[in-house]
Amino acid sequence: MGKHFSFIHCADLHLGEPFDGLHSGNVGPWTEAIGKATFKAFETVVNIAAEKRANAILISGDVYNSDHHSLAAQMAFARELFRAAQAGIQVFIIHGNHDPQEAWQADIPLPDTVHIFPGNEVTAIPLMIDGEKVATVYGASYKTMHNKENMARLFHKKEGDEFAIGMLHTEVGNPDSPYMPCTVDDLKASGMDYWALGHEHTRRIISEKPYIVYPGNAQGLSCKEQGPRGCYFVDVGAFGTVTTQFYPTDAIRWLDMTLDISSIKNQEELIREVIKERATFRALTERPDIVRLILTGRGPMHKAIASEEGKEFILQAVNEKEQFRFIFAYFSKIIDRTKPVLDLEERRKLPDVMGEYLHSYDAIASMKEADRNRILKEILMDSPEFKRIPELNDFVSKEMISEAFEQAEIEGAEQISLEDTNEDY
Amino acid sequence: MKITDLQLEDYGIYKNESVQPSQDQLIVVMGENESGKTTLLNFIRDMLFGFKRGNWKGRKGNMAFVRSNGEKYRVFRDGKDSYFTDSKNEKSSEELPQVWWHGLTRSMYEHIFAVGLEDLQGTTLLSDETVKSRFFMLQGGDSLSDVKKQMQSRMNDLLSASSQSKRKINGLLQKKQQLDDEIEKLSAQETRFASLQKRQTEVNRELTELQASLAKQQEEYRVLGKRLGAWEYYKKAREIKRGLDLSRQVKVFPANGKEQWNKLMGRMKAIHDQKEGLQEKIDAYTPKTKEQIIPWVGLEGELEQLYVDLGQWKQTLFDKEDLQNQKKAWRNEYSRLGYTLPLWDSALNPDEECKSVNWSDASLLAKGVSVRTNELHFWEQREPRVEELPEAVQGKSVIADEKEWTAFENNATRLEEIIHEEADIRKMMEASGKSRESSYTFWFWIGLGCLVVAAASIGAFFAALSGTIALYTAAGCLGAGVFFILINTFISRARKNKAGKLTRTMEELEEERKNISRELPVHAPVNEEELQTFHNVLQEKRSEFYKAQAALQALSWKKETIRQQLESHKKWETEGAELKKARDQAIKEWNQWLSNNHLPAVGADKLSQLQEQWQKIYAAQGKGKIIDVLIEKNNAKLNEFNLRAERIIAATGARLSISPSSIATIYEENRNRNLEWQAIAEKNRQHAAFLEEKKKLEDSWAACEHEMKTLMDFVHAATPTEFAERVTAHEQHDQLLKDWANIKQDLRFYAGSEEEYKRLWSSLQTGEYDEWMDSYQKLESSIKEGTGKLAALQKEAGALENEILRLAEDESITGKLQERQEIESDIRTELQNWMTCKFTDYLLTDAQKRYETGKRPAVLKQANTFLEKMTNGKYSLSVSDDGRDVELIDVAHNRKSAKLWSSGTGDQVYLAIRLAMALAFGKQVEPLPVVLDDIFVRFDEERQRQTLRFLMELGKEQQIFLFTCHARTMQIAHEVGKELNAGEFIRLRAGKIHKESASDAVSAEVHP
Repeated sequence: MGKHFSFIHCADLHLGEPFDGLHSGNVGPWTEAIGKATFKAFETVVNIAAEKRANAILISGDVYNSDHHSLAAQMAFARELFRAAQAGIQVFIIHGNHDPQEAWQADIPLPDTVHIFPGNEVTAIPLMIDGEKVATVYGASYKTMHNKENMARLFHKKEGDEFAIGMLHTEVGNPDSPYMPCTVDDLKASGMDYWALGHEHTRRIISEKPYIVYPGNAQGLSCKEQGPRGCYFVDVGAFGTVTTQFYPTDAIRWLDMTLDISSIKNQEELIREVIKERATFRALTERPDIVRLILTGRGPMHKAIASEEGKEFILQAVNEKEQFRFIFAYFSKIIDRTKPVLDLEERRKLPDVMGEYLHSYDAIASMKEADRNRILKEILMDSPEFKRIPELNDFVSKEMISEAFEQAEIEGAEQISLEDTNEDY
Repeated sequence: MKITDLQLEDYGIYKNESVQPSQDQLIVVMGENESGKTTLLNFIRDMLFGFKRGNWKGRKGNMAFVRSNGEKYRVFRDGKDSYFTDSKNEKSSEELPQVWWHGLTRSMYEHIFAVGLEDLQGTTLLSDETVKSRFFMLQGGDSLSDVKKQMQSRMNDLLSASSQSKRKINGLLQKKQQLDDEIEKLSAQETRFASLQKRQTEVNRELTELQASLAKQQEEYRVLGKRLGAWEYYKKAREIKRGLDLSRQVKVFPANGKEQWNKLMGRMKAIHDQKEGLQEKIDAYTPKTKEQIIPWVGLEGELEQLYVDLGQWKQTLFDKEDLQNQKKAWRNEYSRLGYTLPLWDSALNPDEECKSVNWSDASLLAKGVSVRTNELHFWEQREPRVEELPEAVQGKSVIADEKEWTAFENNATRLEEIIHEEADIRKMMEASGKSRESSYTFWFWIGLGCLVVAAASIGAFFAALSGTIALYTAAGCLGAGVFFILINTFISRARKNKAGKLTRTMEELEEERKNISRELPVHAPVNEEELQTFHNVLQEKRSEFYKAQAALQALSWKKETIRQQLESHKKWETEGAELKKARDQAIKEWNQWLSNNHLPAVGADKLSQLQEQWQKIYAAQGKGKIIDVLIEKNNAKLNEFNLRAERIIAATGARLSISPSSIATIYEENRNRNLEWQAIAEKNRQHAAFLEEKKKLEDSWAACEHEMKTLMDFVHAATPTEFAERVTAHEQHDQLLKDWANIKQDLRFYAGSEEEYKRLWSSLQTGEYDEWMDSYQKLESSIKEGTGKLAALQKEAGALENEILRLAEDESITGKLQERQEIESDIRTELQNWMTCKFTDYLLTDAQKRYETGKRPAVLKQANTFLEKMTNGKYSLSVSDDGRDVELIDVAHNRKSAKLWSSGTGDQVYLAIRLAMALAFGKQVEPLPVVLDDIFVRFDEERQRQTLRFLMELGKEQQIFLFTCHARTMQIAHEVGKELNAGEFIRLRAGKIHKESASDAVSAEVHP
């Protein structure tokens, strides 16, 4: 019979990592909150560990992004580790692909209770409570940014280990991954009683026998990382029974708000609808939110929404009211999925200019994806702008090109239609 | 679709008016100004597309129409209300274009189906790019180009190809670059922090070390300072102690000891002063020896003698020159002598010695050579004769020897036999060939007879002609028949075997004959006829063979004779070789002798001549030798003079040549030096006197020293200083004791404690004051330096701590990273907008191209047909590939560019194209009524007539409304209608609509 103990499992803290997909210039209470969100999230992790009297905190890689060389992130991390040490909590850390061992830079002294696993090898460190070994923590760090080796196969529970915990920053189920790829079977074969994984930002429990757990990141970093983010509190009973409990730690939550504009006639009405809907978010998340407004449907507001100025106006209007709120719901972006009043399918059948325009669109749209991408890329690359400013390429993705092209269908058709309408009246 | 009924219930000036336009005739509507022509035009459009916004009030009407599929509908419009009904009277509130015409707009309809006067552009019609575009793009060209312009303008606002531009995306990129730079700077914080921390640790360590080291140094400094302070006391104490020690050593000392000592000191001082004075004089001069003045002093006698012999030396030198001249003359003469001697005939080498020659040996050698030469001569005379071998007998017989001949004869005999055998076999084959012609022998026929009888018997038996006897007969005959046939077969086969054997034998014989024939050297016979000829040839060959054998015998005898002759010749040759060898040996020895004696190579027969000439050379060389002896003697004499002179010159050390003049110079110098020596000898003598005096003084000094030693021995002093010290100490003993006690007391006070005093005293006893002082000074400067360093380090530690704290609290990088991320996000958003515009622009260009290439040809073809019809085939259209140049081609195939067209022609071209487009569109969507509004303004009557004829034709298929305000046009229309029996005519008068007949038109002309 072993000794009862508990630990916190978290990963992908990405301390100091900026939030993606926000527009500049929109200053408000969120500006500061966004800057501190990742730190705050880790602070919450330590708080939970202290409150729950956890014996250890396991951090499964990507504490921060080494590429940013952010001293602030490393200092904040060190501060929290000292706080954990004061609370008598041991900390076990593995380096992830974003903060590999060789990039671990600032040399800030860490408390003795912190154990960092060396790179590209599996090392065992005992978890001691009151001088008694309650578990053995096995871990392997990234030495450099990439490691294609299946490190999971190097983990083996040893005889005499009451309870074995494996810490690995890995991409499970993708054999071509450059991030220590492995399979669930590899993990199970190691004999570990709990796998504390990191790398995937969305939490999931892959298996319960043994526990193979991705806790996800502690703070969502973009609109793609929506919903609660946090850590797992893992309780190990005297007989090795494991219970897990998720605790949200995100300081700011990312959300989507979808609104159909079909019945909305003007901007005021639209803003009113958005604000009404927003009120429900605060009660739901109990923390500041960053909201992406997705507008759908076919209606008279389409034209206003489609323009940049229109979007800007709506964003300003809805954010203005949140300026003085501590728990704000900040609208970061409008995704325009509305459709024009024009029935493009009907217009395709008409042998007029717009019909020809839409046929020109169809000619490219109906191509195989690879050919379409190539042609669209060529159109961009042949432009003097891309030729003379090559860094523009850094900002262009396949998805962006596809989206812009799809937008071009509506944009062109609408403009032609507008020309017609102008002539009508 | 075609309009069948127009009900203008309330529309402008029309109230409850209606008209039912024809569906298969051109509808010509004539209305003067203010008659409601334009209103009616608008009514048709409004019925199709609805009232214009804000223009619906008080308007009401309906319109019936039939679609191309035959379905009938009616559209009702009353103010804002609008609907249409089908043939079943079912209502629908949708707009007609949305239902059937894919959202065709009013504007599009007007561009395509409605043609007004204002659209007629005359000759400039197709020269303008926009206008042309309008035609070919079905009026959509300008909207496309407008949208393109808009897109480009938006793209321009967003992004410029110049990276320095201030456009939105460019600005964002620049801002991002700035942020990149700032973040780059801030990211250095990480490494700076690490290095600062390292430095802080280092500084703290240095501080601790330095403080410890300073404390240690300061303690050492204090101790040393104390020690150095006590040193003066100690030094004094040590002196007192030393005095006391010395005093203790002096046991007994005489009372006048000190007085004696002082006297002795006085004496010794006087001696010392004298010695010093004398020494100065001695040192002032160094005595010199005669050798130093005259280095050659030992050779003075020799110099004197040589000086006497100088005349003789000079004579010897003169003789030497003379003898050398003589020798030179002799060398010339001797060299030339060689040319006068025929056997030498070359210059003689005067340096080569003419050896003495033993001429008796020469005589013997010459004689030997002569004898050997004679022997050889006689041997040559004795050479034996050797005959030549005659040519071999050849070609006489092809058969070389007996064996060959026997083989030849055997072959011939065998050949003959074969020919005979062949003849025999041939005869046998001929004989057997005749009997073999038939394989049916006599026995066959008997057998056959038997078989016939057997058959007959069986037949008789079956025919019951006879009884069993017939059967027995049949059996017997069958057996006999078979037997006889077997005999026939056997004989026939035996015959065939024999013939085969003969053939094989014949072939073998023929093969053998051929083989033999090949071996025979003559023509071989093939049959018995040729045998006689062959016998003759054989006889001839036989006789040839025997003749050849006899010739061969004679040749072998001759060979034997020649062999013997050759043997004796060989012997002669051997003898000759030995004689030659002996002669060559004799000649070699002779030549060797000549060579040994350095004589020219001449024959032995020239011996006496050689001897005679050699004696001349020998005599000449004798003269040369006499001169050499004289030279040698003279040289010896000269050498002696030189040696004597050389010795003297070497002794002087002067660099003088060995010559009589040098000796004269040295002789003169020697005399001068002797004079100098006499003065120096006097000084040497005086110096010796000083030395003598000094020796006496040293003796006195030694006596004094002895006395002094006696006195020093009393106090056991080794040196006078020691003596003085001890005597003084002895005298001051009591005072010293007192001082000793005082000074120790002083030191105790200085030390502060007995323990410290002891430690101080013991360290003072080591007595390394200079080292202490050195260390003390070093420590002082080291402490000073250390203190300075400590201050600097403390300052640095403070600065480091401040900087580390500042860095640790600096979170600006987080803000900057976020800011950059946001800028990047903005760039992506704006770039996506830009890309949307770019793709739109691309698609617009593509659409334009598609439309032009896809639609234009069909439209132009149709337009061309229309134009030809309108102009009675006068013109046809030609458009360049790019659509830029439109020309007309007349019947004479002359081309007419747009600029040269008349306004009426231009209008016709335009009308043709517009109608073609309307038809093209109608085909694809649905044909809609065409409305032509006063398009004949610039047409002359004839042209109007032509055009009306064409429109009346076209109106049968396509519903066309032709509006005009000109009565004359109406009249012409009537005329053309009458002519073609076509057309419907409507007249508008102040809100009233009338259909009219041709007569109405005439009256209208009369009363316009």
